[in-house]
Amino acid sequence: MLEQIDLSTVNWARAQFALTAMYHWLFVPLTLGLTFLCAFFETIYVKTGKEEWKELTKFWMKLFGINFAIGVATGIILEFEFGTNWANYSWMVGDIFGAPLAIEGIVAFFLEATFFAVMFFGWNRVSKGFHLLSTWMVAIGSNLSALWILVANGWMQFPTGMAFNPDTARFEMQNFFDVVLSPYAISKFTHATTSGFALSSFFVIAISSYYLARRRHVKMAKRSIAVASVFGLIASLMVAFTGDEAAFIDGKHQPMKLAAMEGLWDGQKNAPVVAFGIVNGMKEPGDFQDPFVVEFKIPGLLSLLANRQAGSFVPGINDLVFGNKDYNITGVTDMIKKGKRAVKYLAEYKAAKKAGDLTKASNALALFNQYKDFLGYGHLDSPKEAVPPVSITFYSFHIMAAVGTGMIIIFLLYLFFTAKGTIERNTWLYPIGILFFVLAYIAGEAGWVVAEVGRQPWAIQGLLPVKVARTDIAPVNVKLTFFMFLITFTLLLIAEVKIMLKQIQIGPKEVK
Amino acid sequence: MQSNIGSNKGLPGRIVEFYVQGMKSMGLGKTLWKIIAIKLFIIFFVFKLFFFPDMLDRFFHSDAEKAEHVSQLLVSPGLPTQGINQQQILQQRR
Repeated sequence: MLEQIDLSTVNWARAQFALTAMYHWLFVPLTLGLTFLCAFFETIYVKTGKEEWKELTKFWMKLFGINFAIGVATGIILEFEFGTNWANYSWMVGDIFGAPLAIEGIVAFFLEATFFAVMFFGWNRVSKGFHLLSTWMVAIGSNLSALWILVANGWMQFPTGMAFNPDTARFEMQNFFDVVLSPYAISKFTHATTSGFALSSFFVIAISSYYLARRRHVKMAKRSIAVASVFGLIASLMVAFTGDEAAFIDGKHQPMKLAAMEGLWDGQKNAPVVAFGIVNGMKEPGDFQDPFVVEFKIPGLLSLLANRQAGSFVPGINDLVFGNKDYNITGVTDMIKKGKRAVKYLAEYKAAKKAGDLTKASNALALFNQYKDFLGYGHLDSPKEAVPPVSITFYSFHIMAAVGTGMIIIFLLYLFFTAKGTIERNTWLYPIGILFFVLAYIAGEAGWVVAEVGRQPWAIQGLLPVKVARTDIAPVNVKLTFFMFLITFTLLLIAEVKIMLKQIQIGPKEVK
Repeated sequence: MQSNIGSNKGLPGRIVEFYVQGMKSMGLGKTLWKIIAIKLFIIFFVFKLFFFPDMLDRFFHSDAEKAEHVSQLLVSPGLPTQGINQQQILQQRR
């Protein structure tokens, strides 16, 4: 098994990016959601004037502060990796990413940095109203920061609002609003932030459940659960809704990813969702092997998810690789031919321009423009390259979807027993609440695996494969920094967990 | 700012005082700031300086050179995987 893994530089660079992004995502979702929970708690304090709510707010704010401090700047490493491991990609997207990332920096600095200080230093030193405003601004600011990063990611999934400049070899922004309001940008932002809200709600529920189990800080724990279960339930329903939207736009713009998510090799009408399945990892495009060792299907559901039309046709991996004339699907095989033409005419354009033959250059450019949308396919050696790792995508998607469904049920149970006033008696629910905090993290990471592994081999969908995007540096350099990050981030994570656990052990200040 | 309303200092002075007093009164925050400082040092002075150079900046001196290099890769499918690295390309071009 291990000998089948290709340990070339590009895969080490991919692994390093995945490692740093996944570690970064341990800190980010908690920041996104806990800020809003702190804002809710503080709003209740300001409305009621009860000191218990103030101490409760300060406790959760302290845990938020720990997470924020340990997590801050872990994302900057991803930008370092762009310049070193993905230099060609960085050059090509610089014009697109410049604006969103600059806005992110400014928003993060002015909103978060300014109001963050008031939030932590301002108790009893600024008015209640101004302190509350600051807490809300930190919540909004941190989520707005995420927006710009996710806009950049959305553009990689669905490059829009740009034109390729063959003279500079860069994608240049033509319409800022097309980039910001692209369906992928909106989908990424809403799905990622709401999943962060749900995870943070489980964070509050898990710690509160621990207190209830230990009969400590009971009043505070019950109040925290009441707010977190409402917020979590709304968030988890939104996660489901935005997830459905994500699948729908994948069906339109990234059908290969959707097919891999469901292990659908041969397209069909009334396509099923596989509720549970064991994938045949040896299956390849065009062969006659069964795609699953075991599978339990829900007929017709994938057609509904992908097209919002019962009984409709959903293309499978084979249709997308080899084409399907019946449904007017152009296969990767044909796209590669068009891509090779794009590459050829781009080369002719560059050569003619260098030679000063403007007529020939103009003709070559006109031909290039006919095929430029297939530029990335010109770099694929075989149609199989356009198929993402099906097993990883399938399992990640199903883990995410299963946990997402479970989250709704658990939030409902916590809310039900809280409303009934019996949450203290239903101790069986506490370990499940704690478990779901861990599962929510796994689901969040799995979601990113689906989003990114499921669209391989592309750095920019259809336009730039990772093998061209990467820098040709020696694998040993990437390996070295991979393990350096692994050690550094693991130490940071241990530090966070230790400090968190100590503060949880101390607990909130009791009001007499 | 409630407690500073009676202060004779102007707004900038009151803001500085707000931060200074806040920093001084930190408990757990001091530990977190130490972690942040160590982390930022590792990230910017170790990782960035020694391990994460901007590769195009290192080998090419102008945007035109960088554009030419990336264009070359775009019109030569398979080039990056054939062991031709930036340094070799630069030497060839010279």
